Amino acid sequence: MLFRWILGLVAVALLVGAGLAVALVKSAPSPAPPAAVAPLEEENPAWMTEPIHPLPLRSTGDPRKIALGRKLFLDKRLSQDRSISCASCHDLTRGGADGRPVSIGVGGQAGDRNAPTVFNVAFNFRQFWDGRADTLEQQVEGPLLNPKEMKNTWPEILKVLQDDADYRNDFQAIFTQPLQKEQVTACLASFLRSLVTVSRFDRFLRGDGTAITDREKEGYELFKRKGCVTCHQGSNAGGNLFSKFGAMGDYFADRGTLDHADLGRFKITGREEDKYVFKVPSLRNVGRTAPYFHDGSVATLEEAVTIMAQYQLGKRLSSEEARLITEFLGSLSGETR
Amino acid sequence: MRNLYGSVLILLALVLGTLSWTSGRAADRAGSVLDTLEGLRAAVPTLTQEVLRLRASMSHSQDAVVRALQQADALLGQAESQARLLDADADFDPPTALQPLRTFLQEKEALAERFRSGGALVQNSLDYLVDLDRNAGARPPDGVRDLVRSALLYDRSGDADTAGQMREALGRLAAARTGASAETAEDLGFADRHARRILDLSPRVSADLQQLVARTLEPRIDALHAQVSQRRQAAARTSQTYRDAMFVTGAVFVLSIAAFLQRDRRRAADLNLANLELESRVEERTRKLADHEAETRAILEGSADGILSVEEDGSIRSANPAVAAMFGLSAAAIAGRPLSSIVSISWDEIRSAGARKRDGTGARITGEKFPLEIQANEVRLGERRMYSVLLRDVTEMRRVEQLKNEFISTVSHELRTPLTSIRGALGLVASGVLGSLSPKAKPMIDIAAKNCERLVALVSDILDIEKVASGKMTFKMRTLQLSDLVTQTVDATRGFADSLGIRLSVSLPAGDTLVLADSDRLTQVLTNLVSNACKFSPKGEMVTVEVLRSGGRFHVGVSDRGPGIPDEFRPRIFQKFAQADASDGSQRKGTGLGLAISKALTERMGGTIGFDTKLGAGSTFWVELNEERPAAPVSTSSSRPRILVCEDERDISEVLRQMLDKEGYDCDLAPTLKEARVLLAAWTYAGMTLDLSLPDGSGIALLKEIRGNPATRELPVIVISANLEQNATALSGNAFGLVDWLEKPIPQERLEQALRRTSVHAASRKPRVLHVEDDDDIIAVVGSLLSDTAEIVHAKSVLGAWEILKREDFDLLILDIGLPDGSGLELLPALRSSTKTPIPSLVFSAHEISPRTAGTVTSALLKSKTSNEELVRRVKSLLGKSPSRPRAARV
Repeated sequence: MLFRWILGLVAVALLVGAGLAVALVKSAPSPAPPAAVAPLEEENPAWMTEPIHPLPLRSTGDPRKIALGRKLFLDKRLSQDRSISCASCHDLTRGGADGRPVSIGVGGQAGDRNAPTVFNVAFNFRQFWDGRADTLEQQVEGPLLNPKEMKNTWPEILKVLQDDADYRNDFQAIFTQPLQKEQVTACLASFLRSLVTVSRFDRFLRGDGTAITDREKEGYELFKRKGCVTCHQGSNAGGNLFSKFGAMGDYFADRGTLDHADLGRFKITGREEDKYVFKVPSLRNVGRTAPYFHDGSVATLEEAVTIMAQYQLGKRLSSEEARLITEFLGSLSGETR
Repeated sequence: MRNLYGSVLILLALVLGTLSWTSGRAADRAGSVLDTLEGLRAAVPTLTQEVLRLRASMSHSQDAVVRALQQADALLGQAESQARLLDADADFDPPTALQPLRTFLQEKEALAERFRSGGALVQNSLDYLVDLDRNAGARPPDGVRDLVRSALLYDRSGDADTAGQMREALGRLAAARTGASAETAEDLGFADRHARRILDLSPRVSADLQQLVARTLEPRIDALHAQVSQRRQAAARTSQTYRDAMFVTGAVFVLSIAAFLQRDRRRAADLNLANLELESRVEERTRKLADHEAETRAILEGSADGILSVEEDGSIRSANPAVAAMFGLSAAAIAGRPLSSIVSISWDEIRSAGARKRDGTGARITGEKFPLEIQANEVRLGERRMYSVLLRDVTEMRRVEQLKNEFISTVSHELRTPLTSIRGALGLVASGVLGSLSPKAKPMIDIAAKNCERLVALVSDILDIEKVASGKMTFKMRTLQLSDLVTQTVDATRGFADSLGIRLSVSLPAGDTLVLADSDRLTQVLTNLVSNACKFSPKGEMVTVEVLRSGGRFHVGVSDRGPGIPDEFRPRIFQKFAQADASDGSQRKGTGLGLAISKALTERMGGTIGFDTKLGAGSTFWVELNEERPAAPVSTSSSRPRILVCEDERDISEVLRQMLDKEGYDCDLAPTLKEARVLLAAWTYAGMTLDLSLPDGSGIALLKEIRGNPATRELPVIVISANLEQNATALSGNAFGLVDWLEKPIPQERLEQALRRTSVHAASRKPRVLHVEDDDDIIAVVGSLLSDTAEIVHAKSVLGAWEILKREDFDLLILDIGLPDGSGLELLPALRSSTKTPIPSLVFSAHEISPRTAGTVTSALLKSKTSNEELVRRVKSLLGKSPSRPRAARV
């Protein structure tokens, strides 16, 4: 009897010892996580010397989160009175914006600033006109809770999703934890990251000389020469820099009115130097997102180009120059949508 | 002793192993922080490099700077989350230690942002000036060239001399502007502003750049790296020490065992002998156990009832073959399943019922459902709890039970018809309508009548019990005023109480006492309780009925001063045919079913019934019902006749509505002539009250219209007016076919009379009734009862009735359901197929009709449950309630 007991103990001891030994041997340092930056596809491509860079050829993201994010994006039940969805103001068939100077939220309320496009937002270094959100996850919460936009609350949104069997299944298929707001923002952000619109100009940058017309090429040269590229550069032709609206002239004095929405980044930082400072918007799809500027005050792109030259660069553009630049900007519109 | 020794060694080895492992993990974590810090250290120079490239115009895209910043930020975030897993101690708290890095990086980010924005502006301004110079051609305005040169120099060097040169050039430029053309002047104005911006911004951009490049994270990262690395080494050392100790302990353990084994071998020989004996004993015990088990198994396997052992969580552990046969599953397929997957009752419910039997259904593998009884008994095996569950297939039992019930039901129904004749006939004889009885015959007839009533009651009770048991009893649940119902019940029982010399007292709470119940059934229960209390009270005593409100429930208590209920009888009191002290039973004159019925009825209405008793002091039987929230008055979609009340004063119309409601009419209110016209066109009314002065005109005009329209020519109209005399002339006598004129305020009696005349007005002749019945005795009794009220025609079959209905007009049909050639209900569609108002029908039968059929007939009475008076009353009310029909209808 005792003999068996001891044999048992020995077996246990050996097993435990072996287990521990394995555990100790295995405790090598874990490999470093992959870098957050997507690798470039070519070592030193020709476009590296151009101020504007093409969009990456493939985007990453969990297809389930993207699909669920699309569903959420189109769902009017996310607004307080269930009258509008994200897509109401960011119409994917209209350049990702709504064509109004300012959007109309729940109960017919007018918003503060012009709705920016949702396309290619993954390539903006901050979100919103005043750059107050560092990530898209932070950004998507803004319109959902803004009392002038969808005017909802998280408990209410989560309840709607919780009560819907389809959503329950969708979320459970992706996340193990019970439904929470981070999951909703993650899906919406994933969807937004998937909204990439490659343009003819991208093909041009990658070496297809016939992708854009001669006039558009001429417009691009002008765009560079006039100094537009100082701000509108990078893969998003903007969206990676803050700048003051009216660097070479007082735009707001000339416009005649001043609104708290015009103060821009000052409202976030409170620093005097940040007054009238906005994120330089991306010019991708700009041909489809009239009206222009944060106040949506300008109806045509040609006019917007002229105003930018005057107030930001201190240059007068001839109407032909403005037309050429406008034509070039048209080549930045996505080919797929 | 040896066991203890061994266990301590093993435990020690385990503890040491765990400690070693924990320290090892700490070392690993520190290691991953170090890796990340190294990554961060490499990322910072990348940022610096990209910033410099930007400043040197080697790169036109700012993406790289943004990316470098984002990467540094991501790496720092990673380091922070990894550091959070490190153990803090007195001189090193990882998150705090990383905090300066975070602050530093944020500063760097802000700096980079300002540098980038400023740099872009300066770049633009320089470009502008260069462009201006280039476009000016061979002869630029004075100062431009110098301005451009000095500006480019200033932007690179930032020294005071070049700034002075710029200012000097600007002065010359200003002078040049005065003489230039408007366009050139504007360009030069812009140039001035650009130059000033360079002067203004360039030093700041340069300063920002210097700071960006100079302020490096590296020393901080290195310091942190050293700290973490120290900790890592310390942890690794500790881990190694523990591991060594563990191996030593293990070695000691193995050696000890070897020593023990050596000793054991010596003892083994001695033990061997003892062992042999022990083994033989164990063998014997095992054999006995096996026999015993075989016996138990045989019992289990032979049992016709299913026996299962079930774990505490409701999963089946084992089952006997009967279970397998019952469900058509193999024993192996049953084991491990949750019990609730094969029976309809949840495990919690079964378990909580304890040893009580529960009824449920099981599902055979074929999908067939069958009734079963379930009973669970808790079994404790040491610490473990288990349940032995008994399943009994009661399909056969239920079938027999149903046969029995059907038999009782059929017999009782068959009893009803002759009983009705006996009762009716006895009633007529006893009342003296058929001539006075001799003094000797009178008491005998009374005895016969009284015992006939008892028999009737018994048959009704048996049928009630059977119906409740089979679930066939339907309940018309309505919101009721409990106080009213109690008052009515007590009033109805007062005669009975008086006859026993018992006084009744009622105590009711104030306010609404709304409950959801079937009025007839609840009355039945309360009557039973009150009459029981009377029966069991000594003469001259008081029975109190008390309604109390307590916590959302109403409690109706009926207290007597009787002998109380003996202990041994208490558990049986609600059972069928239970009466305490059977020898005393005859005196109490009950069927012994009353309380059983009351309990069943109460529970079906969602209430509870019970009693409190004290021997010698009396008993209180009580019923409790949930309080019902007052609902909005529901419009009665009854078949009651409708009266149009054309009246503009709300108070008056409300009074009229209430009066008419009491008289059995529904009302439509029309406060204006316009609405009255709309309603008259849309509906057929039994009558109308008309106020002559209405806001939109005189009622006389409407009256003329009504009489002029063939559809409403016969409509009985009661005129109500504040100044009757004045209008009397306008109405000129009876030309308008008025039923009555009433003056405000309306006298209730006059209205009642007028309403009665409304019906008389419509049918002044004696109403005709077709009685369809095959039992001659019933025909004779009913004929005798209704001889004053109506002219009666008989039909003994459905076909016969059909023939008569084709030829003649009737005001009412009394139908039996069970006729030789079919059901009397077959006649109903014919009654309605006429375009005229349908003939009201009264079903008078031994069978109760289904609720669906009940909707198609006007009224229904049950043979043997209906007294002579009730039948006459019902027939009269049905005849009186067809005043809207100017002539009797023909089918």
